[in-house]
Amino acid sequence: MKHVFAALFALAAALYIVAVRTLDPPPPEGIERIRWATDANPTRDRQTGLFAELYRGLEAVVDPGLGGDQTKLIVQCATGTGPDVIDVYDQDAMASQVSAGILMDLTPYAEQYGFSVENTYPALRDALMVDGRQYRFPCNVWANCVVYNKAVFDDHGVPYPRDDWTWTEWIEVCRQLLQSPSRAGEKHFAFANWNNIWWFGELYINKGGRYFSEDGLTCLLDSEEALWAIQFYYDAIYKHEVVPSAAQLASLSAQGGWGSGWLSIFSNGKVGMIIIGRWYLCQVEYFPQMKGKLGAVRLPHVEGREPTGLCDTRAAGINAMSPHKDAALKFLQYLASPEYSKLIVEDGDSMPPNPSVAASGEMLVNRAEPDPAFHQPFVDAMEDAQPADLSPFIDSLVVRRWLGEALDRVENQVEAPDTAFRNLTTEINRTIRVNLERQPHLQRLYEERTGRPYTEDWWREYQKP
Amino acid sequence: MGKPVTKKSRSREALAVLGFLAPNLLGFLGFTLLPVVLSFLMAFTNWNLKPAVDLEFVGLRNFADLIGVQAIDRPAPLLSALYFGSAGVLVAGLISVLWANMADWRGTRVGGALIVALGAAVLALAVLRPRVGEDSARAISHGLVISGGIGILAGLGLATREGEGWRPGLGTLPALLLVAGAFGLWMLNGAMWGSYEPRDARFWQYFYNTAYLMIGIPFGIAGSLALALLVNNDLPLSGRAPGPLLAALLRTAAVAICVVFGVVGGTTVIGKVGLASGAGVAALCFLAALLITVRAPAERLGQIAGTLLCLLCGIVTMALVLGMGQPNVAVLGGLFWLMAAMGVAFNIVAYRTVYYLPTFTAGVALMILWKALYNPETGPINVAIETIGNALGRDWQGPEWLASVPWAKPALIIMGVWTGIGGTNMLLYLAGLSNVPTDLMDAADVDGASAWGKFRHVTWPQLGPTTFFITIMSIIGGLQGGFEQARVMTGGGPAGSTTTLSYYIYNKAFQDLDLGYAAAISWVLFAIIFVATALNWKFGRELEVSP
Repeated sequence: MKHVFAALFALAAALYIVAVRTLDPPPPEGIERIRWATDANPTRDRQTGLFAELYRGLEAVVDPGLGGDQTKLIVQCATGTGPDVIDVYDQDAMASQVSAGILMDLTPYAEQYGFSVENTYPALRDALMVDGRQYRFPCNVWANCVVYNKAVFDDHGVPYPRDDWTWTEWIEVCRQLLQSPSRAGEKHFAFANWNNIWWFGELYINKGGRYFSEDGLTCLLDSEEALWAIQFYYDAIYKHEVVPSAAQLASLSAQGGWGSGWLSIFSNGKVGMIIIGRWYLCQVEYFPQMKGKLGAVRLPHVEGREPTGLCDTRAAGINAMSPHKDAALKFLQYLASPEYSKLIVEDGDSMPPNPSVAASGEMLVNRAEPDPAFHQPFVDAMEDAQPADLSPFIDSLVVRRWLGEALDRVENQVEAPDTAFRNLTTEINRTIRVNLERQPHLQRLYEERTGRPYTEDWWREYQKP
Repeated sequence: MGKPVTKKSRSREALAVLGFLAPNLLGFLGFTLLPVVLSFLMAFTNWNLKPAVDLEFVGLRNFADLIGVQAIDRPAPLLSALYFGSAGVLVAGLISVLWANMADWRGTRVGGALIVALGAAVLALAVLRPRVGEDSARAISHGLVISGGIGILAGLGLATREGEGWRPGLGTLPALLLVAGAFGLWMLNGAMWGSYEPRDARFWQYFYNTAYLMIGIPFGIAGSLALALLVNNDLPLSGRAPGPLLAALLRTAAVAICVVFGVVGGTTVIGKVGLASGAGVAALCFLAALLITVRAPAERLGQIAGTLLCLLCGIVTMALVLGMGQPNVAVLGGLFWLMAAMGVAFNIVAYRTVYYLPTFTAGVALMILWKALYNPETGPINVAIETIGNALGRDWQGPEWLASVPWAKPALIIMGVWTGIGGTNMLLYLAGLSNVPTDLMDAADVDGASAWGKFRHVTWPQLGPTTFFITIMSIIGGLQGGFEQARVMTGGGPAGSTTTLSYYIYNKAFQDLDLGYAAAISWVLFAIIFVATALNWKFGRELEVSP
């Protein structure tokens, strides 16, 4: 028996040696390495390469394994094995990670290193800060436009969409695409609803809605604007029948992540229009058949209202427990540099963080799309876009998840649109009440924001039962 | 004579045993007992990964939040007391019905008839109640249909007991309790849920999802038993001498060559040439096999005939189907005849191995495969439904499966049954079948029992302990399961329809960072599993037959 144990021990030792040899080699002498948790976008190689050129002695290594997975990130950071620089994809995730203690407060360093909120778009100020403290700086910035496939429009003999159009006109364009026969005998979708939360958000913000009241104490997703937005959303799918539901589109795609199936469906020329940011241009390298066929216009607007829409940023924050804080701060400094912004412009990885290199369509021309007219709408969109508002009294990711579920229920006709959103609002408001009741620090925040002492029945003035 | 056992040698032995067991014990303490104790303690705190939330002991608050109700406007304590009292009476009735059945109380037949009537009433209510599009109302309807059906079946089981008259007795009381409880719930339901709402409505929705997904368990168990009965005995083929085995292998190779060329070439010239070449090779193999078998003893002719038949059918099938321009179906045909050839070559072992394959295939890989199968546009399932419909002159459209709220759970059930029927349960039943005394079967034969009679009166009772064990383990697995499917295939959607309690625990702990609440959910789930297992243990053991 002891020979068996000895053999097993020897086998385990051999396997350990093999495993150790497969680990990443340590950085060369004199090089400090930081780990950057971001997606597996092929442009990251160029971005990290430029960082190494500009900052001798520093090296950034991409960790695509986290890929926006909040749960993995939290567990890794809680156990001290988290990355140094973390891509935070939207402000919901930022608020959640700040409350989880993951992100470092950048405010004391921002001006010194040149990556303060003054160094990027003013519209993003709220998207980079929580309670007046800065926690991230943009890697890229997005505001959505309608990107359309000219070949699909030509195939159906439908005129291209133009700026300054309304949502009613958008319905009409979709209908024309679906009803006009295809000269090539192909089947096309008019519009790809690939992100239902974004699309609803664009409708809602454009109608003048807010997710929460100014003080964050009341959810407003049962307001007139919200009910209009969700009814329009529902009617587009079931009344006008110009849009497949997100679930239908999801079922057509093979898998998620970078290079998701929905991108393939549009990039393979099966869809007329999509609401997306300029970062779609990263795909053109892999779908050369789309070159020269893309057009972009501003999002439609509600009749009688000015065009506006959402903006946000894939922004980098620093792990509060990182052992390489200085190097990570230099990485953020690099993100604020004009050299990095020019690389973003050239790669088509959405809009650059530095607005001075993206002041016009001409400045954004790149090899993927040489037509300035394609880029101009994105420049215009950033001027009047705004981030979605949050409430500090409820976890933003929870709100987003519940909003997604409510949209799912509407899309699947499980609940009527107004019922779904009234129930959603009731649930969010109830959770805000419970959070305030049980968390003293939120009670202090309540008193700061309202100027009144906290009482248990505070909500009777603010929320419906 | 052996050495005398001294105290010192005994201590040395004990130390050696402890040393041997120490790693396992330490592992159990560190990775099982300690986390279990910690999670139990966590369930009574507000432990949260957010630094702004201070850790404090909250008593039963998490549990109250989970399973409690709250007044929408003003409390109505009498109403809630009556409602939950009715629920308590219903539960007491259920348990006492089981007890009455086990203890053979007098009057159980009358009680059974009452339960049949109750089940029929519940079913009628489910069918006739107004349809509303809301998920909760649909859930209630489904629940009523299932409850009504179970009531009718259980009631019939009691009412048709032999050796008892139709006089009421103690055994009627449980049925009366059930009727009283059900009536109370029915009368008070509207008022109750107009005045109160669950504190955590999602918990009840996900509990419903978890219970719904367990519908597949009896089908899986029945399927495993059927499969075990089918593969319990060898195929009725002759012996396995090297000659016929070689012949079967040669034919298998010929079939495989045809499949490869047919698939690669399709209906092109290459495909046709390949097919012809394959047929030529097959013909050579046929001749070779014929030569081998000419010298074989006569009793092997059955096996040889089987392999020849597989070969001929395979070639003809693929030629025809390829000629119709259906390479995918040709592959299916080729695989079918390949399986037949393997069966002839290796007998029943081939089929047992193939049926067991899903069990040791990586679960995530299987789920990704099924996700592709369920694709509403390009998935083979819907393509097959539309193809069959077209062939029959009908416009059949497959459902949207994982993208549809009504079909997402049935899709997961189908996948679960497919994965489960050839798995460990089949092996357990095979072991159980091998323990059925042959003299009982011989006796049944002598008495002239039919195949069904032998199964019902001999095989099924003898499999009682196996069925009991499988049922308990399946229920435990069912209540704990659904996480992988939600994580890999559906994300818990659409609209939360495939989120189970285990996935809810994960979301609460690692997305909402509310570890205390997640721990409370896991302990409530443990309590549910414990009660289900205890009931099964108490009332299911009567299935066991003493040796």
